[in-house]
This record gives sequence, structure tokens and C-alpha cells, in this order.
Amino acid sequence: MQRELVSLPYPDIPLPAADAAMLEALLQPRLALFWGAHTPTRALLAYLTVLAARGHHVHVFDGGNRFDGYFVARLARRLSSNPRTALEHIRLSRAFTCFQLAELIKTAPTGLGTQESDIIPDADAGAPGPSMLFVLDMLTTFYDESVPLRDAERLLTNTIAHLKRLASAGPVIVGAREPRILVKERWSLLDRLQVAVDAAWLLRSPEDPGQEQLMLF
Amino acid sequence: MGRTLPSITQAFLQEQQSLARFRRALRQEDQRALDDLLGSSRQHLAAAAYASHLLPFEVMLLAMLVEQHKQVLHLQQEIEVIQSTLRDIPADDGDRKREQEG
Amino acid sequence: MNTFFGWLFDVYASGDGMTVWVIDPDGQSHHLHDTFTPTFYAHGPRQELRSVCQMLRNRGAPVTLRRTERIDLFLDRHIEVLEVGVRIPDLLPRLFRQVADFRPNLTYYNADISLPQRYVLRRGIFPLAYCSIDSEGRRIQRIEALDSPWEIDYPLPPLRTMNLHLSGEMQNPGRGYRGDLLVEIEGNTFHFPREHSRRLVLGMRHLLEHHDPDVLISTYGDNYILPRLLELARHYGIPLPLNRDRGEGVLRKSASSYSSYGRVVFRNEQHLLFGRWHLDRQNAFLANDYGVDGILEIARLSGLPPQTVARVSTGTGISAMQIATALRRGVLVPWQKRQPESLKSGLDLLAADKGGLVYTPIAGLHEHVAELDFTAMYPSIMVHFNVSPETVGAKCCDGELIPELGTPVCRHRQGLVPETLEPLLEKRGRYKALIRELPEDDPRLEAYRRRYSAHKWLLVTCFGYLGYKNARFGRIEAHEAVNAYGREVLLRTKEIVEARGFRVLHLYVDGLWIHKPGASGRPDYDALLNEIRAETGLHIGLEGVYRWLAFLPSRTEPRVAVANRYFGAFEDGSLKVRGIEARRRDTPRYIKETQLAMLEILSQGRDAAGFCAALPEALAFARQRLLSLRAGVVQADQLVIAHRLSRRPEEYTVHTAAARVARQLAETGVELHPGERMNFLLVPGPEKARAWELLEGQVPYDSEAYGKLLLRAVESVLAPVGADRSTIEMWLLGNAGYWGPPGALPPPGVDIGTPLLSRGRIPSQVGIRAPSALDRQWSDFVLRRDAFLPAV
Repeated sequence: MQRELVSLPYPDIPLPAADAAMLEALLQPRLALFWGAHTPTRALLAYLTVLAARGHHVHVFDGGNRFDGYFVARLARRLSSNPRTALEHIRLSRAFTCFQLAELIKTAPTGLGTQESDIIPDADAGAPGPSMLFVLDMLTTFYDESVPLRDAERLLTNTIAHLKRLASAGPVIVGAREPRILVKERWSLLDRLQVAVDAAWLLRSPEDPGQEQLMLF
Repeated sequence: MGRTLPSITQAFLQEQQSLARFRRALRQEDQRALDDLLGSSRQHLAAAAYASHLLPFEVMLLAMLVEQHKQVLHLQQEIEVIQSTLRDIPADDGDRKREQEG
Repeated sequence: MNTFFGWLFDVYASGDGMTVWVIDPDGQSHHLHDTFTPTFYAHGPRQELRSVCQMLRNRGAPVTLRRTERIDLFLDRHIEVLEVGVRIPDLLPRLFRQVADFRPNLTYYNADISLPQRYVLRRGIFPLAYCSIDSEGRRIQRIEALDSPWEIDYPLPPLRTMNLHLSGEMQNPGRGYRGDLLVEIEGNTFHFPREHSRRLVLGMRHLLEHHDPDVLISTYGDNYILPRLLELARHYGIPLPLNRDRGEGVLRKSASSYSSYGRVVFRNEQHLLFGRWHLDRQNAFLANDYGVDGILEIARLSGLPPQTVARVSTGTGISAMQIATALRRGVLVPWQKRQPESLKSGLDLLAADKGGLVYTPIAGLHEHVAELDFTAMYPSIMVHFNVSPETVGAKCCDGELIPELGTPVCRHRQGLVPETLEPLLEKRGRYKALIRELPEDDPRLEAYRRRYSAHKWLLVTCFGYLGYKNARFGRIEAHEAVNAYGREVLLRTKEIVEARGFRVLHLYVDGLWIHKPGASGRPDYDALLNEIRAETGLHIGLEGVYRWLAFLPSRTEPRVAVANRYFGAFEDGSLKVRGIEARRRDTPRYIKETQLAMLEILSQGRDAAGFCAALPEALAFARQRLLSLRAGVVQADQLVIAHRLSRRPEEYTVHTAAARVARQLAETGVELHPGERMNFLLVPGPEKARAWELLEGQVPYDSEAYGKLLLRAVESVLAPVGADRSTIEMWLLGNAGYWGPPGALPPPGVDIGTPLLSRGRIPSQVGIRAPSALDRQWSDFVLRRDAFLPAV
């Protein structure tokens, strides 16, 4: 298990597409986690845009209702790509309760199914590799206080098992945030997720450069 | 339901913010002109939202052009009014006398 | 066997069945009992369902088990389910929890519907239905409703009402206020001093036993009076028969805060009675809008008991109505909302994730403007276009395609949501017509108005409910469909209106403001309205024609107008005001009244010129109000500011007035929750603000701070004519002869001897800086000047 640090860039400047190492790492068929005090949705959106612009089929399960389509289009354009193409390669579903998110993940077919026959104009060199799954802001709906903790824990365990199933066939990248400081009991959910993944990155925000990062092992 | 995409107002504001460096390096009077242009684009937020254009900045530019064109038309109108008013004003006595004499 | 007639008054689970209270036409209450077996359902692999059955049998649970079929709305087909009937209704929640813990991976339905609602639905009755009942002793053999919730007029039972409140000003005891107890019943008032608490309890007991009221209406009963009475009763060992049903204790639900759509909502604690209703004026969601008449109307329509209706938000009411439709149709009600959105491409999301159309209005002062509004637009769209969770995207037939989105909507069977809403819309329409037709002194009018208001709230929340995360039958695709239809309808309307020579000044989701030179009276619009109705299929009405109407600029960005800040005077002189201080909840009364009074003065003007002509009078009035304020002679209770806490007191980081007050209250031991209201006064000195309940005697208020607030309110009224803050300050506080910036010469013809306020001139010609000044005012001036340009 790796524990690496990546500092979050300025909010509107996208991660350079030339960060080949990171993209290469993302393309591995395994379960990867990006986490921090705030959910790293922007960073993940940037990554998935780059990948979608290159022709990968990307599935996105959004648990935080923050999929910024304009950001994706702007970034795709800056990558000298047709923004339509990038957006067409993205298949998205929004979940507003942890039950919905769990259902999405549970019913997703391993390998994420073949794509419907969309004509994909001017794709960069065919669809390289398997479909990828991004889960944005995975834990917010599990932190919802109206869901009893034991139900949330049980559901999360089940969901993680399905994430692993999906990861066996293709890359699965999950973004999550820590619970709010005053809600101590929900940390167990983040712990469960951290323990289960194959690789994890902690994102620090640029506002606190001097802070010691959390080393878990 | 809380919406997913940023609102069109937020999208416009983001575009505005991305122009911050450009604006900073302009002269003061040019900054004001830019602010006017950016402000004028806000007249058409609803149409921009409805358009669902992938790149809101393109629609923003178009909105600015629409407002500018309206101002041009308005000024044209005013000029025509002034011109026809001037044409209708009789020449003063001194000139007429000179005309008659010369 | 005994047959009698009466109104269904209260229903709850107790003992091994349901307790039912009925009030007969003589006002006599009957305490009855009925058996009832509510059911919940489980779906999943047969093996798992069998284990559940086994588990229940092993525990000797009093259940009936059978396999049956029901409809899953989202799958849009029948599915096989295990039906678990619980013979002792009270045990259902606990039993269900056991089953759900035992096999958490099964899908459960009909698990958390309230028992009273289940009972009335099963029996085909509803709260306050007039019923015929056959009973054997206390046992109900047969109960049948003789009227329907859809009737316009219905007789209500004779109810004995007891009023409870504290003496003195209506201050919140939850903030530390204390007073004597005042009880009013059958025309008499009883005063119980708080020092003699034992006598208070004994007196209360006597009144309850002697008068046997049906309804207790209190002010601060939920958070103070009832719990205090119970506490005293316990302390003195005197049983207090608050419930009619002596076998039950008073049900207490504790307070909670939850977040909804980004705002924090606070739900106060509740004290609910059995066999009797307790309604707390201070804890009734919209009681000021629709009162007890409205509460009873919603109870009849939704099947929820009046005590519940009074306290929950109306979203719960419309949800209950949907559940009723579902149960009637054999549709399963999901327990945990798990149906996710169907996958859509990023492009589709961009096209669909939009709200209603909202224009940036043409700022400034307009005249003879007509406002057209669609009646209950979103619910009407749901009914007319058949938008429902199971119809959007259905593949069963050749559906109509949703504009912009292209998804088909089933047309050959009515969806669950339209089926629920249609009769409600229809009933509401009938009340509306009656309200218009009846003479003002008709005794039914008040009740009709209140019921109409209750309907309005039910319908308003149903749209939010279609997509809201906790709505059982919510589905985001349906929500998006409604929005798309809304935009299309509004755009077609705009096209019709413009084709007939009107200019669209403003457009807002379900209404538009239009103008055509020469069109100023109602008859000018009849043909237009008919055409719109024919073209869109929806009902549109003329809200009114304005004498004058002002769309205000944004405070932060004066070049741009704001969509929902405006005020205007209709032909009949009545005002419509949106978004300015008078409509904001935190504005002190004195300032609200000043602003509204100014607008009333201005409403005398019959057009834009009339508005301007009335300005001096309005300004003179404002000046008086400002001077009184600064002189310190205004009553403090007119200056109270109401603020809603957005977080817990300890979470505030900046020392705003609200944060200070929250901390003051917390220090006296008051527990404050996010979403709760606080009242306070701005005071001079370092303290800045003090909680209202902590003030004693005559306290001086911060006249300068309040003066600033008043000026701000005046600024809003004068914004359409372009008077900015410094101009207003000059007019109201300074020498009234001032007319221009220092150093500038008066325009020719100006009589500098006569004070400004006594001139009747259009103020736009005075007090505005010369346009050649290259400063920020230039663009403001352009904006304001445009308001006076004729239509291009």
C-alpha cells in the first residue's frame, strides 16, 4: 500500500495533462482512493476529463452533486480537444442517499458493460483500455445523520465489496472527505474505506502548507 | 432538488474571474469599459442558461455584442434626430443677408 | 349493537389494536376500539424470505405471513413479495426493525407509514370524516364515511376549545421569559399566578375535568407550558389529565435540527395528546397563513391527524397523499430511497440540469404593466403532461417527447403523481372561483380562503418533492421533465405575447410582466390570455395591471437588475412588494412600516409621472420617521430584529450581532439550536446587541445603527428614480435646498431659494451628477437613464 502526497493545485488551473505518471497510475485495474479534509472532486474531475478527452469511457457515480460540466468542457477545450467528445465519453449518475449510491455500485456490471453504440467522432486513437469508474464524494451520503451509524457501516462494507469486484476488471477511483470535526462517530466509515483500497492519496489544500500530513502506517 | 451544475450566474462569474489578470494590466479607463461589457452580458443570463452551451464564455461574448449593437443602433437614431433637427433650423439673419447680397 | 353517527376525531395504536375517538353532534366524545393488521413487505430471494418467516415463527411474533404480488413503481411491474401482517399494530415498528436487522439485504416496502394513516386508509375513512358507526360495546364492527375529503362545504364537529398562554407580552419562555398561566375556556378566563404552583396544577386539573375540552390551543405550549405542567404535576404527585385517554402518557418528541436544501431547519419539541388535540400557535408551520381551517383541510386530504399536520412541513402532507394513492393502486412504498438516476451522458446532464427561466428585468420605473401568471404551474404541468416517476422514460407506448430533452413520457395511463394532484387542483380551482364570486360578508369566505391557502402550500411543495432526496416517489428525471416543460411553456407564451406587440419587461419561471403602449385595462388582455391557454394547455391568469412598477438594481452591481426585487401599485391601488426590506423577516417593524407607508403614498400616483409627483410627500414622511428614530422616542418593541441561527452558538467565529446575542442567551442557560429564531435589539456601546428577553425596562436603542437601516430601506424605495445614498441623506438629513454636487452650477431656471422637497419636480432631473464626470456614477446614470427611454 502506498501513501503518497499530492498537493492540490489552484482551483481553476487544471492538473497538467502531462502528469503522465499520475495518469499511468490511475489506469491500473485496482481500487484507488483520493481523500482529504474536503472531497477532492475538482482534482478527480480534471483527471477524468483528461481521460475522457483521450477516448476512454468513463463512468461517474456522483455522491456529492458537484459534477461541474462547465469545468469539464473548459478543460477539454484547453486540452485542444472537442468538449463534446469528452462529455460524450462520460456516463454519469447522481445519488442523493447512500442507498442510491450503494445500489448504483451494487448493480454496476463487472467491466461496466459494453458501451451503447454511440458514434464517437474524432476520438483519439480508438478506445484504449477498459472503462473506468470514478466515484465522487463517496462518503457524504453515508455521513447523513438521519441514517443510523450501524446501517451506514453495514451498507458501506457491502458496497466496498462490490467496488473490489469492479476493480478486478478495471480502474476504480474513489474520492472521499473526512467527516466534520464535531461528528466523531462517523470516522469509522472513512477508516473502513482506507483499509480496503489498494492505493491511496491524501490531498492537502494549498492553504495549509506547513501542516503535518496524516501518516497512517 | 439542489442543482448539480454551477448556475449560469456562477459560470459567468468564473469566466469573469479568469479574466482578472487581463483586467489588472489594463489602464483604469479601459478597466471601466471592460466592466461595462461584462456587466452588460448579465442582461442575458436567462438565454445563456437556456442555451446550455458547453462553453458559456462564447455565449457571454455574444451577449456583450448584442448589448453593444443595441447601443450603436440607439446612437444612430439619436444622430439622425440631431441631424434632421439641424437641417430644419433656419440660417440666421446675418447669413441670409449675405446670401441675398452675395 | 349500537349505531350512531359522528366525526372521526383521533386515531392511534394502543393495546392490541387501534383506539378511535369519535365526537357526535351533541359534542359527546366516544372512546372506541378496533382491530387492525397493518402490513409491510419484503422482496428478495425465496430462500431469504423463508428464513425471515422462520425467524418470525420462532420468536412467536403475532404475524400473518403470505406470499403475494404488488407493483414496484420504479421497475414498473408486479413483483413477488412476502407480506407480513402485524396483528398488534403497536408492534410493527419494532418487529420491522428486527426483520430488517436480520436480513438487511432484502428490499423492504411500506415499512414506515404512520399507523393512524394506515388505519384510516384501510377503512376508507379520513380525519374529521362524518361517519356512521356500528359498535358492540366499545368495539367497532363497522365504520363508514358519509362524506368525502373532496367536498367544498363540510360540517365540522362542535369542538370545545381551551386556550393556554402566559401573561404579559408574548415572549418566548424558551428564552427565559416567565409569566403566570392564563386559561380561557367557554368565555371565562382563569389566571394562575406562577408563585402558587400547586394551586396552578390543581386548578388546571379541575378545568380539564370539568370542561373536558376537545382542543388545547396554546402559545408556547410545546416548548414550555405543557412540559412545565407535567413537571409540576410530577413534583406534587397530582395526576394531570391532559390526555382524555387516561391510559396513555403525553407523547413528547424532542427538538432537532436538520439541513434541507442547504438551509438549517429547526424542528421544535412537541407534546402530543391522546383523545384530545394540542395545537401550539408558536409551533405550527404555517398557521398564520391558513389557521385551524387549513390544518383540518390538510388532515382530511392527507389522512394525517391534525396534531401532526399542524407541526410538520407541508411536504409531508403531499407525501402522505401520494402514499394514499399508492396504497389504493397496490403500489409499494419504498422504505429507503435507493432507486438511482439512470446513467446519462455529460452532454445530457448539461442540457437537463437547468431550472426555470428567469430574466434579468429591465430596471427602472415602468407604467401600465400587466403581470400574467400561470396558475399552479408546476403541478398543472405534472397533471397536463402526465409527468410522474413511472411515466418519464417509459417504454410502454409511443410517448410524447419532452422538449429539449427528448425523453418520451407515457400517455396511455395516468401516473401516480398526476392522479394524486388532479383532484387537488380541481378543488382548489373551485374554491378560487367561489372566493371571487361570494360577497365579502359571506360567513363561508374566511374558511374558503384558509383552505385555499392550505392547498397552495400543498401544491407548492409537491414540486420540490418530486426530486427531493427523501421523497419516496421522487425521481430526478421527472423533476427535470417538469422544468423543461416549464421553460417551453414560458417561451411559447413570450412568443405569443411579442407577436401581439407587447414587450416583455420581465419573466420569472411561471409569470411575465408585459407592456404595450395603449394597453392599460383588463379587457385588453382577454384575447391574449385565451390564446395562451389554447396554445399551452395550461391556465394563465391576469394577476393585475400596474399603475407603476419598479424593478430594482442589485445593491452590489448597480448595472444589473435583480430578478426578484420589485414593487408596484395595481390599478386598484393595492401594492405588490417583493425582495425589499418590508418583505424580509429580519427587518424591524418600524422600518417595515415606514417603507410600506411610503409605498402607499406613492401608490396614489396613477402612472410613472404620478409616482414621481408623490415622492416629495413620501420623502417628507420618511424624514419624520427618521427624525423620531434618531431622537430615541420610538418604542423598543418596534425595533426588534428577528434572526435565524445558522449554526450552534459555539460555532460562530466572527463577532456579528447575532453571534453576540447567541452567546448571551447561551450564558443564561438557554439551549439554542441551528434554525431557531432569536430576537434582539441593537444597543449603543460595546455590547452592540442584546437579546430581547434579556432586556429590562426602558433600554435605549442604538439610534444611529437603526437610522442607517432606515436609510437603506428608503434607498430601496427611491432606487427607481436613481437617488443614491448620499443624495437621500442630503434630502432627509441635510439642507433640503441642496440639489447638486459641490462646485457645480444649478441648471438654468432652477429656483435655488425654494427647498427641494416642496417642489414637485421629477427628481431624476435633480441631484444626479453631471454625466461628464468620469467616475463610477457614469454607468449607474446610464442604467437609470435607460429606464426612461421609449421602447426601441
